[in-house]
Amino acid sequence: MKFLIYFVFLTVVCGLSVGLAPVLRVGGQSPNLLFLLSVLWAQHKESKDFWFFALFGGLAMDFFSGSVPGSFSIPLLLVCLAVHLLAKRTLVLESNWKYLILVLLPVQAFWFFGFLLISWFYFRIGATSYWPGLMGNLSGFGILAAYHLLFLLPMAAFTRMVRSLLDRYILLESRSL
Amino acid sequence: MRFIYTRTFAVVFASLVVVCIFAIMHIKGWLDPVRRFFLYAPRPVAFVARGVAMPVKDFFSSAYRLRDIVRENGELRGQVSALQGELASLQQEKRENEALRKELGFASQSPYRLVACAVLSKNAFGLTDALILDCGQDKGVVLGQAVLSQGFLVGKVAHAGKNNSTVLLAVSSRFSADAELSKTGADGIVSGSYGAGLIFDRLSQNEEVQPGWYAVTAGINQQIPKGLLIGQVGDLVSSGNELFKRTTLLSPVDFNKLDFVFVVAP
Repeated sequence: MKFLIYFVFLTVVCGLSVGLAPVLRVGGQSPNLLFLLSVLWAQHKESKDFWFFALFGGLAMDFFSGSVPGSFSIPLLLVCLAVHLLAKRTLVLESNWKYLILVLLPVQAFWFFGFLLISWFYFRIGATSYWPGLMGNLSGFGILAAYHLLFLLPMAAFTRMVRSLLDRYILLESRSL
Repeated sequence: MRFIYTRTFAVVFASLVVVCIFAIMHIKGWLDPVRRFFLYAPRPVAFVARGVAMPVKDFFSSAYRLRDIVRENGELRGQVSALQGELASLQQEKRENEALRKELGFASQSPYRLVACAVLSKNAFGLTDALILDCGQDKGVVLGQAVLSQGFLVGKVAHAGKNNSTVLLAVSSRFSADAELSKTGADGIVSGSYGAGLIFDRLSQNEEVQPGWYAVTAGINQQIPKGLLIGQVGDLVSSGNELFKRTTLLSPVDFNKLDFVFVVAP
């Protein structure tokens, strides 16, 4: 049941991201809400379910952007694992906005260059007919970062709301048992 | 406990294996049902989100561009009256043409087959400059075919699945197609300009080129037929010292608002 709720939540965020992309596009970039969702879920110490968002969110990005599976999802999985381990193993008492901003930019850079590297690999082995290219996308990196910073806190609030709803549901379920 | 023996590592590793299996399935062409499910599941939410956000954006962008719109309106009125005159003479020529065709027994058919496709995703996550279409090999779409909207070239097929396909947009920096000026036949290459527009490059310095002339496909690539409209010549962006002339191309198509397109099957 928990994963069904995750799936519905992921579908809604994916739909929002895809639907709002043409409206919010600046310099060829639009906010990637699936990336934000996965990273925000990964930085919760207690939850180990970040893999679900990273895997299916990443695959959705692959399919919606016409890339070979793995182009977005492999870097996203690795980045989310790193974020989760960082949150678990370092002394982060609370994930406030300063911590989130500090984490977001390097994480986006790793994910972004991971995507370009894996896409290049797929291009080299002939799995895709074109490579998205470095120069064109480098110019978009700053816009993407600005967008992610802008959407970080609303997305964090949204994620927190879903988590608290989910906790309440699990509590009710355990009581009924 | 070592990290590789933890549940977290096991789950992430299993996820990576799943992705690798999906990648192999994609290369083999077996992934279409899964891809289709992923593409269709969030569509209702995407449709509602876009339906709500687009009028808001249009309102603010219209308010911002009000002065430009008034000026543009004046220019368009001028163009309309000029075109009305042209239309009258063309209608007369069409009648003559039809009469001649009847006499000669020609069938007035389009030289190529157009496959109508709905756009499932419009470069949703940036970075790839790609469209996802709801038609694939089942409707005769193959790799490299031209894609049109409003009669203008908007891209070419970069991947053709069984029932969906990926189109590389013409405004992508990775796009290129052979082209020529419809007026003089001078040939060159059209490419995208990092999502911002189109560039007509590799035109000989000896060739004359003027703003407003039309660029069409040259037909060197067998998958893209000759004579498809690409755009109107805009400003010259190269200097006289350079080896080739380079101009901007203006396409009337809004690449952010593509809902239906046609794939050209020669």
